[in-house]
Amino acid sequence: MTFLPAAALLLQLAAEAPRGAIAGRIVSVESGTGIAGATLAARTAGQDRQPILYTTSASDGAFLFDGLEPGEYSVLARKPGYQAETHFPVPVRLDANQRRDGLVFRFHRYGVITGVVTSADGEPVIGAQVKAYRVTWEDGHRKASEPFGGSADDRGRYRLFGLPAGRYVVAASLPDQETAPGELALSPPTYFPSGANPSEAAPVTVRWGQEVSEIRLTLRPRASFAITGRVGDAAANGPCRRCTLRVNRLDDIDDFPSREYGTAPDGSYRVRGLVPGVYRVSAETAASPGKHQVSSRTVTVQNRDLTGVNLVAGVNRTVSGRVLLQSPPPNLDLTKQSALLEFREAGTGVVAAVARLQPDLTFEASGLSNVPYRVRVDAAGGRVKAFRIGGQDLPAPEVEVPEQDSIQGLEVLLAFDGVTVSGSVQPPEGAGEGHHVTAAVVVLWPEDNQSAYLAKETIGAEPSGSFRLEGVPAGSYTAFALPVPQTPDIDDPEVRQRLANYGRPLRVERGKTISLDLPLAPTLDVP
Amino acid sequence: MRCVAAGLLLAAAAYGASVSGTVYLQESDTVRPLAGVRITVHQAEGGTVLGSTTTDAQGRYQIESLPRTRVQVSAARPGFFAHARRGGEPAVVVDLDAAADFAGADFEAQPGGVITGHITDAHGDPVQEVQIHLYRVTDFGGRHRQAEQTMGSDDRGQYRAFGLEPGRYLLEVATQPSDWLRDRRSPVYYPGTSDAARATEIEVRAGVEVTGIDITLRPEPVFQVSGRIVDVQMGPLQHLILRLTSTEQVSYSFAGQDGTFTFPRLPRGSYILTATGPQGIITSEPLELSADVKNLTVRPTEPGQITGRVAFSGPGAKPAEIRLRARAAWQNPLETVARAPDYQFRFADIWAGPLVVEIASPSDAYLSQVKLGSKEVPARLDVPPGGITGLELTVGFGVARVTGSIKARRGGPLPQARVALARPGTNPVEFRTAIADQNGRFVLSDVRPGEYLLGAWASVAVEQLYGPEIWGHDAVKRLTVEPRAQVELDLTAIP
Repeated sequence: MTFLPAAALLLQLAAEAPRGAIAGRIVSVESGTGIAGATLAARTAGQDRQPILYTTSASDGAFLFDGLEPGEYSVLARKPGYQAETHFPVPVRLDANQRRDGLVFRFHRYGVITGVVTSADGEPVIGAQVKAYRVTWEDGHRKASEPFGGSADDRGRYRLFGLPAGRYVVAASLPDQETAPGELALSPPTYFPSGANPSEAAPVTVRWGQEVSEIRLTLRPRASFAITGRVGDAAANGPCRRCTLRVNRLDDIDDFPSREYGTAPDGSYRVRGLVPGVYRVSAETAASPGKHQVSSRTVTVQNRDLTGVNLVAGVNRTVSGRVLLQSPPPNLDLTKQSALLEFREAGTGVVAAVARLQPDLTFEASGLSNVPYRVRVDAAGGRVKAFRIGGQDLPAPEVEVPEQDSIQGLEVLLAFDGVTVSGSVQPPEGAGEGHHVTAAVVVLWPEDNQSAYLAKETIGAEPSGSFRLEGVPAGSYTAFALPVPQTPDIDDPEVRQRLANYGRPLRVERGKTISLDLPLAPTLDVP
Repeated sequence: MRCVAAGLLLAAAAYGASVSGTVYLQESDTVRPLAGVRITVHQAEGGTVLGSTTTDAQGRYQIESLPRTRVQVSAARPGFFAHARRGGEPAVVVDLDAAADFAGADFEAQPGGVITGHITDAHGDPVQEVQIHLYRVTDFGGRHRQAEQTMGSDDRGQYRAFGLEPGRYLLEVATQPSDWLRDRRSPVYYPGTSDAARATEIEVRAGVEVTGIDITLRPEPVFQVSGRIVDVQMGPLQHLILRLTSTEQVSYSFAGQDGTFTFPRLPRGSYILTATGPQGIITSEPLELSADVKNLTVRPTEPGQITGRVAFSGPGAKPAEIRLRARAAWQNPLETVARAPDYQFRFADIWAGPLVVEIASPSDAYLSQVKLGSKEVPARLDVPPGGITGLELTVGFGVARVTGSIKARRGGPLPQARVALARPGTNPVEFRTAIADQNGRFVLSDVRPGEYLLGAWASVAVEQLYGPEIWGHDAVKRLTVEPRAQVELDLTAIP
């Protein structure tokens, strides 16, 4: 055995240390400059025991992971105050001692809305609540996002930050107050610049990285009315002593429920401060928290107080029926696949109940409220073709349970005659050599004037750009491939118009398989 | 069930009482009425809101249709702080059974002080959405602090606290738990220390803005824990949730197909590692973290038990059985029974980690002391692997009610005075307090039997009660409260 000189040993050790590296830059889309202080993490795919590596971007936005073993890495990055335009995690393949340079991760800086809230006489309204709702679309309807909120300080100033680019409706109000047992005083909101109704709001456009200042809101006294009534408890057969109550305005951009509050000991309630509009009053017994078993009544406030808006809470409503199969594949056993029927509130999308399909294909869902539900069936390859009650097809896949009753004999026609649509997403024109699409969403948008049962079909593309959508019902669609993240809101008719050149008409007919290539649509700036 | 009882009480009370008064703004040397102040009437015990309104342009308010019961009236307007004109307490207590229409629940408001500043990181970049706590400081019974306001920094790292009562404040940037892509930070006090005792106090005066209260945050070292969970034959266990719990955060990891797991970025500290499968916990063990831990092998273990006995404080008939409950994280509460004559008990299925012992029944029993060996320990136990033997729980019964009248030194009832009940020998003093109504009457309910000091003060800041000195006064009474007693006694207010 020969002894190596110390220097040679060191050299040998150095040669054995892995020298792979991943390097790049974190860049602001808006300014083009580097972003300092972003946190990055890298881990090798599939091997959970490998430690996760961390680094931070330098003042010019540069980052480096070094001393890496060869392997398949996933890299992701985060910086508070910014939203990534890059789709994370980014896969990076490293051969032994390879150095991968030039990764560029792009981030948008969030927007800001600032301003002041004053009373009619110009005094700051300290503590006023300010909300900004981003205008979005869902199932073809205009809808508000969950609001970004803030409150006015001792100078009446507010600052709403962390806003993605978009169009916003800005509203201010005083906080709600519980003024006595069973009594809630709401404060009517003022929509920028000074409207009493969302339809009078002037939307505020915020671009990435933009600070929109001087959005001044003036709170004025408004004519408002009260709703009073009593809540009974179905189980106790008397007043509901511990019911929780909510009031939502249905014709408002903000259809999120109001805060919960309790009825008075005798079951009575009174809600003040309601401007003319359509409202839903909902009550729930304390015995059913989280079960979404709610009784509600919808009322219209015009120019006077409404009295006697009475409710009975704690009614157990059920929907039962059976599933009929149309051209099922051989050996289909839905119960083995534990097929489920899901009842989602049509307004909020909250899942209220899930019913399991029994071996004889019957089902029963309980604990439902008297609101319309959209029903979905999760069964491999099967699509709901129709809902029937008493032999009549329902006009839409929606079921409304009566206030004091249940529904029996709901027939769900489940068809297995859907078609497979597959294809690949093509990189945008002018993209560099070797560029391929790693993240996209493929959407089939049903053409107008078809059955209400035809819904938007969505699937994410594979990292290779290929996609496959199974069980698409026959009908006419326009197919789009949309970028991820910052996916354009295809539910917005204006967006569909702007992306018309990227849409491909698609006629789905029974018994045909369809293959198509779709051009990747661009990211849209604010409309 | 307290709120139900309060509701029933209210349902039984006669209505038709009213409270009225005026709110004044005191700014430098001028006093004028203040409009737009929200007045709220709460039930004196239980806290249910009975009514509320806002002062008019003359600063006046009136609330009608109130139940004829003891109520507490308070005044608030954002940006201001208010206190009772008489007595200076934050609220006015009125017995509406004794006076159905009470006029003169007046308040005085002052514009609050303001503190502003910036939170930045080591690069000087703003840090947004950190939680900032403000505490008001007093020096009675040692430096004592009281949470006053909590707010967040905005996208410029800026924060603004307003409506502050004059006084001395400490500012703390709260702990931020770590996660996959975020460093953990310990609390930092202004101007930049983790030690509250070395924090600089910020002096706040009415209507004055203190600016430049800036803090720079620095990251702390974090560590990774990785390993594999295996069954007794060393085969991988799948679909398990692993948790690392410390006193301030919980981190999760899901075991992969091969049983491997990783927890990234955890701060130094003491943890409990718990693995949970579909049938519940399969192991729970302590872990000290001060460096990266790699290749940790975790195996299922057997749960331990807690054994001990129940003792009783004070004389009186003992119940035939005491039902005990143990609450631990990630587990359904466990119950067991200690029966006469020896009142021994045993909880099975006990895992290492924090656990709280409490009395499930009878309903008027309370836990007065927990002892291990001969040492008193908190009711929140840190259970080691294997469990605990010889736990002694002392149980008391029969809460009492202490009522009375407060007289001024020169005779006659003293309205809106403060009464307080203290445990002797504590420092800072442990006390309960209430405000007397318009006739000088006070009520302290749900008082546990035992030895107490009872005093009344014409004008005192609540903070002062933490100091033992104030309890040395001749007019402070010594009091033994027996189980289920209704104690009625008169006190002379200390000026």
